Amino acid sequence: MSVSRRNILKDATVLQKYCDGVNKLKNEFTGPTTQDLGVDGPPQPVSTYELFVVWHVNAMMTPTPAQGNPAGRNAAHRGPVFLPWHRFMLRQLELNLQRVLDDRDFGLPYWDWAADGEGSPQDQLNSALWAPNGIGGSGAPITTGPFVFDPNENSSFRVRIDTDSNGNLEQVNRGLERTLGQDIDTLPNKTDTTKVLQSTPYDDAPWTVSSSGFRNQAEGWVGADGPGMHNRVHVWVGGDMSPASSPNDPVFFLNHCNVDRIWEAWMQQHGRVYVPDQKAPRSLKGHRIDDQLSSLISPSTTPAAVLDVFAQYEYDSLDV
Amino acid sequence: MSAESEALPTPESIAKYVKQNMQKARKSSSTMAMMQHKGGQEIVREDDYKGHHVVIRTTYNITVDGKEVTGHIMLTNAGQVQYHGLPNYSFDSTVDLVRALIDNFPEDFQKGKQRSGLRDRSDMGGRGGRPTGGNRSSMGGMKMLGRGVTKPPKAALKKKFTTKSKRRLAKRKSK
Repeated sequence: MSVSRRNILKDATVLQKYCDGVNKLKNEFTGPTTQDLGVDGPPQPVSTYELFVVWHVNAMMTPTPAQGNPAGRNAAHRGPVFLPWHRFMLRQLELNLQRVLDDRDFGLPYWDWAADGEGSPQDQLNSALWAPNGIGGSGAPITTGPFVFDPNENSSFRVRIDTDSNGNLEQVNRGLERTLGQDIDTLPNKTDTTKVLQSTPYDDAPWTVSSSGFRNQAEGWVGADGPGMHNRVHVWVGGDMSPASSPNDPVFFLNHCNVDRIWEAWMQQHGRVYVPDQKAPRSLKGHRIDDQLSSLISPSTTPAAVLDVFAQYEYDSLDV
Repeated sequence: MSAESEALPTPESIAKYVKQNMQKARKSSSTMAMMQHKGGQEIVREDDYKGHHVVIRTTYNITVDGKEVTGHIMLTNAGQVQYHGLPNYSFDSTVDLVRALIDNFPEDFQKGKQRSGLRDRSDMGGRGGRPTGGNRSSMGGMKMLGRGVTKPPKAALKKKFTTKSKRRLAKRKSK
């Protein structure tokens, strides 16, 4: 059954459900522990939500090729698989939210950040998304919204696993942090998204952050104006959106859902095409169309299998 | 999506697949730990230009207060410096990168920091107490042009956040 993915700022019900679902997944422990996942410190149960954090870090820490510079192309970023891998991850979150919300019609919402990016820097900070009845605002830790930390309340939202300055997973116990608009003034805007939609092909040699093509533009490594698109959103939000453990902030998924929407819009214009194909050299293993994607909480899939998602979900608008 | 990955998950299926995949996850974590670049990291850049093959080897050995920074660095052929620990950023210089690390992970650079174990920082204000707003001066090398936007004077920001930082530092020292 196909579900509708909606703009979180235009549907208060889906906003409420998303926040409720995230908090449920933060408090669901299915058995895995920090020890199982190779996180230093005393063994602690890992919630379903935090499994997404660990999954993201592990994928980022998996160089492709295996002998490559780990800060280069990895199993989820800096190469062609960036968009398929995050689509796979988003879908797994969506399925888990449907489960804990007991609502098979629930579709993951997106944040149309380019619409906010049309306003002034102050307007961007004042977006309804960051209001107390949105997902809360800026702070270290944040003090408003549904993800506020209360050290005396075990069920309150808390960050339990993050990454240190070397990118290693570590255990913590603290509130969520955001530094909205501090490291960079502005979000991407509609001029940026329009330009990116026009870029072809999907990706190109050398299949890195130096590539031409749509993927590298959408990821945000190209542009004269600093970090672009997806990267710029991470930098603009700051705080827990900065390190490899960025899924700690629920806005991570709202950002990536919008990136996925932009990819879907691109495919509507340019076709459901993906490169490199399976004839590409083994040095691109993990990024070829039939390669298995890095997985943790479910069976894996391939880039080819995620190109057409019409049977699973559709966006309420592809006006990006 | 594959039919298998589309099945509605259950707590049992999550536990099962984590168990199946965690061997791989543990392996990648340990592999990465082993690949941390103690004793310096060599970065190789290659280029082909007018029929010539160019190889440039750059070795980084970074310390902060004598303590080695072992995370992975990437240099692009355009000269940008990127880093695994801050995966969405791009810096004009390695000095700017290290300053950003100190800003973003101040607790990692405190003397006597314990690397292993649970760090209960609920009373410390979070990720090592990075001031909300950060110290912009050290991010100066990051490409972050503001589309002509006028920012508050740095001096005002510095005063505001330095005061906050000092309060946090004093609180920690008193513990």
